[in-house]
Amino acid sequence: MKIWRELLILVLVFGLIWLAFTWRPLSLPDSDFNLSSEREEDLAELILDDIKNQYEFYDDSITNMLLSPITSRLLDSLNPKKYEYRFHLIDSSGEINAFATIDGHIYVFSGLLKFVDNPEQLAGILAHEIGHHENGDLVDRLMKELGLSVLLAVMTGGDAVMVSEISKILISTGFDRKQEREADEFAYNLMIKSQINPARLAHFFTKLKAEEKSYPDNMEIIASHPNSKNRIEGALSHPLPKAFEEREFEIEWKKLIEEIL
Amino acid sequence: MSSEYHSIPQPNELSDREKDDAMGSYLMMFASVAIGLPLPIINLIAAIVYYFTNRSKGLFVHFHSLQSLISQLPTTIINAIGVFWGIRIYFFDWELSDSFKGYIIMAIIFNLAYFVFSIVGAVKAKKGRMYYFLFFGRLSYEAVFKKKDEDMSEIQNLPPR
Repeated sequence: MKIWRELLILVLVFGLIWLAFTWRPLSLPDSDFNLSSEREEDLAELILDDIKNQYEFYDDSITNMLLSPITSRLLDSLNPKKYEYRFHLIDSSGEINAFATIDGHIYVFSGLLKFVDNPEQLAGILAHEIGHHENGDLVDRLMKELGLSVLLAVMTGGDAVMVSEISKILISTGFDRKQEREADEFAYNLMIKSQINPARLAHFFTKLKAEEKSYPDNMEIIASHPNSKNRIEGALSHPLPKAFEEREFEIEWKKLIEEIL
Repeated sequence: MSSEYHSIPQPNELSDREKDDAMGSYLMMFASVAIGLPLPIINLIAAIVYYFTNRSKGLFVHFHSLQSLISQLPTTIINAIGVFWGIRIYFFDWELSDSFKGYIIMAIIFNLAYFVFSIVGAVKAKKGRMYYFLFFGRLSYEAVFKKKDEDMSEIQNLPPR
């Protein structure tokens, strides 16, 4: 009967369109312009200045003393590197947070250093932030949010309003879940290469989750992931190589933090 | 044309009122879609109400309002599935999977096609013409124009003997 043939055509069209777009999903074309590395460097400096206006920073000597044993181990196992990484320590005990801007800059709040139980946990978080850099998530996000105006800000030598807008976006807006998962994945692998057990990140998330109530507003970036349960499971179930053995940092973390911060 | 079917009314046999009512069945959808977008069920309710209030106004109006109603069903179901799927993804934190994206694009294409066909249907109805959608046109034709059993032995009013 003709009517069944027409129904069949309709159902086929329905199925084929669905299949076709599932198989080859429409993706938005990438931006035609890119941030060149010199411009990224310039912009990163402008952002650093802007953040320095908002927060107190620790001296390089303190930052290095606390962070470099951890960061150097991570960076030694990271090969090749996209950036020369620079770590900044912000004096703000209330904020349990770390974030990355662009061009290899990573900012850590002193609250995070006080919160973690051991340097291995901190290494996991830093590895995650490095992952965002290496995966190109930050430039990607800037381009998506601001596009051409980013270029304009750099070329015009850094309009203050524009730069603070850019740093606001980098500090406050989240990544999408795929980027977060990929940065986690990156962190697990980098941790293993650096002889740190990825389960350390799970311990950190568990602690964060447990104390969430007592720190309601200050954990936005790290805790803004609604699926912290999945992340805990992900970190715990990440396969370890056969002969893996963790090499702990020889730092008495809590004591050191108490003395210095 | 077999005698199993009622004859199709021709444009010159139709009153303006009938043409307008037939056109209205397609246009109703546009008005209700605006209200019902988040809840795709509302335009369906409107179409059902329109169908039942207008189907007695002759075969031409009956056909067009039925075609408008049943052609709305799949689009409504597709949209409803899209909305609930989207809500699930949003609340249960599932991935924006490729199959969902493909589904949404498919739904957009179907809605656009449905809009286009509805506009064409409305214009044709206003001109007093029949217009058959794929499948739904044939289905509505069968439902409206096919003589029912009781019609076969049509009761005829006769003058006094």
